[in-house]
Amino acid sequence: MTTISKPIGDNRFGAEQVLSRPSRSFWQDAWRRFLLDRLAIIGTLIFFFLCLVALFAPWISQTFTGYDPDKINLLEDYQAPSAKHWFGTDEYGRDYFTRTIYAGRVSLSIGVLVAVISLTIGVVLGLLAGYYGKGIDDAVQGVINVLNAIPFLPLLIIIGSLYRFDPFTLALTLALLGWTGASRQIRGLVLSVKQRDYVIAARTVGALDRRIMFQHILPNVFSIVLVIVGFDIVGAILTESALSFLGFGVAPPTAKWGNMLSNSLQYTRYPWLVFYPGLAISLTVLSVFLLADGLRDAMDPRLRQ
Amino acid sequence: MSRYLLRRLIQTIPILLIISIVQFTLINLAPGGPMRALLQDPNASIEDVRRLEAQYGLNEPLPIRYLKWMGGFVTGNFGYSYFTHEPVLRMVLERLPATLELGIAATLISYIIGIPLGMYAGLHRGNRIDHAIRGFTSLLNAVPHWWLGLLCIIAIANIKVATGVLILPTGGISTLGLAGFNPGDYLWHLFLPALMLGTGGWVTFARFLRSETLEVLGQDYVRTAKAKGLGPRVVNYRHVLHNALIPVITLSAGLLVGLVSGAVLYENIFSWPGMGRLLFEATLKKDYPVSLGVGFFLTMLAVAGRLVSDIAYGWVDPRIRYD
Repeated sequence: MTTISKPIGDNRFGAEQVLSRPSRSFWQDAWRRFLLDRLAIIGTLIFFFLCLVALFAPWISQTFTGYDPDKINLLEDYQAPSAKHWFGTDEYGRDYFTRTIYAGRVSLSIGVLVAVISLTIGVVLGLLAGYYGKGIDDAVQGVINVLNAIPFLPLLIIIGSLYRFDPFTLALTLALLGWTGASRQIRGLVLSVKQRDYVIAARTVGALDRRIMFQHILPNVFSIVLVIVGFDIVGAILTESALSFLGFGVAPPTAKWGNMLSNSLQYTRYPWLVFYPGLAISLTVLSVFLLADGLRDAMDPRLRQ
Repeated sequence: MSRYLLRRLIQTIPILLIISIVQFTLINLAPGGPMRALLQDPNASIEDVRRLEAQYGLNEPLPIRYLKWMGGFVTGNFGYSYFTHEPVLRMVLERLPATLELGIAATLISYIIGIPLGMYAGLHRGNRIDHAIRGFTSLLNAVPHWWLGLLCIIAIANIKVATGVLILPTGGISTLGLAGFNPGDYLWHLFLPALMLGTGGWVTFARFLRSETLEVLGQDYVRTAKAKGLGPRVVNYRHVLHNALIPVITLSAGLLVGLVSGAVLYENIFSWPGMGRLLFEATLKKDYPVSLGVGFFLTMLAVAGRLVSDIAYGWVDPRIRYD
């Protein structure tokens, strides 16, 4: 006890031991919390599994089942699920498993495409509206009010009957109608973030508006963007499947989960034909929900229960 | 109050105008134009088409046609169907009650199921029933409800085949061959479509009300009420539920728009003779005056619904002032 450098008070940890843990960034922290969330991990795994199945649908169908999704075989119509036809066959004898995994390609890519486009529109308009306020804000809120007042499905049916949708135009239309949620959330966050000291500091040293928006504000609201992506994907998949169920989606004969259900009411004796496509939609939506919920909890510790 | 009402009414006018312009332009600028259905007739000569275009006023410039259409709309003339030559307004009004009844029934169902479930789950946070409610609503949230409707129809049909008993009607508005209007029969037919259309609503209400209840339970005035010695009943109903319900009403506005969208889907699945089914049938036949009329009428319905729930919001929450 001769050295003075040793602390005298609470010495439980030993004097030489460093008391602070190495610093972790926000994203490292969020990642750690995400990994601890069991449901979120399950959702992520299911979602990536579904994406892989959709991506490798041609390979899977060739290797395991050997059917073409649109190949008609009237001798084998309405087969029950078996080792030969995993999900059975429909009224044209088309292999239902092959159709289901091919349909995932359309539905998932439309979902992701809509999310990307609507998010781009929503983030940019939300940033502008929140940052500049006044006229720009009024204009954006006005457009949002109009869009929110429209029941989408009737409008989409009319558009779909007039202009035949291909996957890209359908995604574009859905995105143009559906960016309002993202924009509203971003705008709200920007309104609070732009009052922070670091934004004021940036402005004081003469940073341009563009720099403040994209370098200072956007990174700080970006966590919510990832969550919105999830909900946008879900919304797009559900709308697309309802639309193609009614027969106004992407033009046939492309298999989609929605239009595989179009003839459901004639399938009373073949319930599996109604079961599998709907199950595929539900599983996709559920996995994205779990993933998005997990992301939200991981990035906003206050929301954790 | 009446000034606020007037102002909100005036605010809806530009919204409706913009939507009508968009719908009108979309239909009229489409490839083939609004006469496409008639152009497909191999017996129609160019002269016939020109004559019909003149008859329907389609040879005039687009803005003039829009103004005429809008003028007709204001005076109650929505145009005529290409196929039956019936006035569109009459077709819409014939179908309006069925859609309204289905929508109102679905709204009632979503309140009746959603509010008690959400309230219970919030007040008994963490117990087994709360977990069950949360799990069930999360699952239902991910499932397309129209698919559930299809599964129900298939199940009912199969039960009918197996046992000969029809638990619920799988479509239509009344039993065939039944003379006159029979309220019991009508409600029996209404139940399944309304339950399916209302599922989205009650799931959302239950989830939302649960978290709102938890939020309100942590407020000072709830603690004060308990400290004053009020019984749990009074606190839960007068203080907690009353305040937790306010945001639920805001939520109703958005859900109403969804109900109108859903009308197209569910009326189709359950052969319900409402406006949604009319829109679907007319659009399939490319009967555009009818599509346009019904589409715009549905939009007006959604806008009116939002207006009503906005007013209800201010009426329930005295903190909102009308000015």
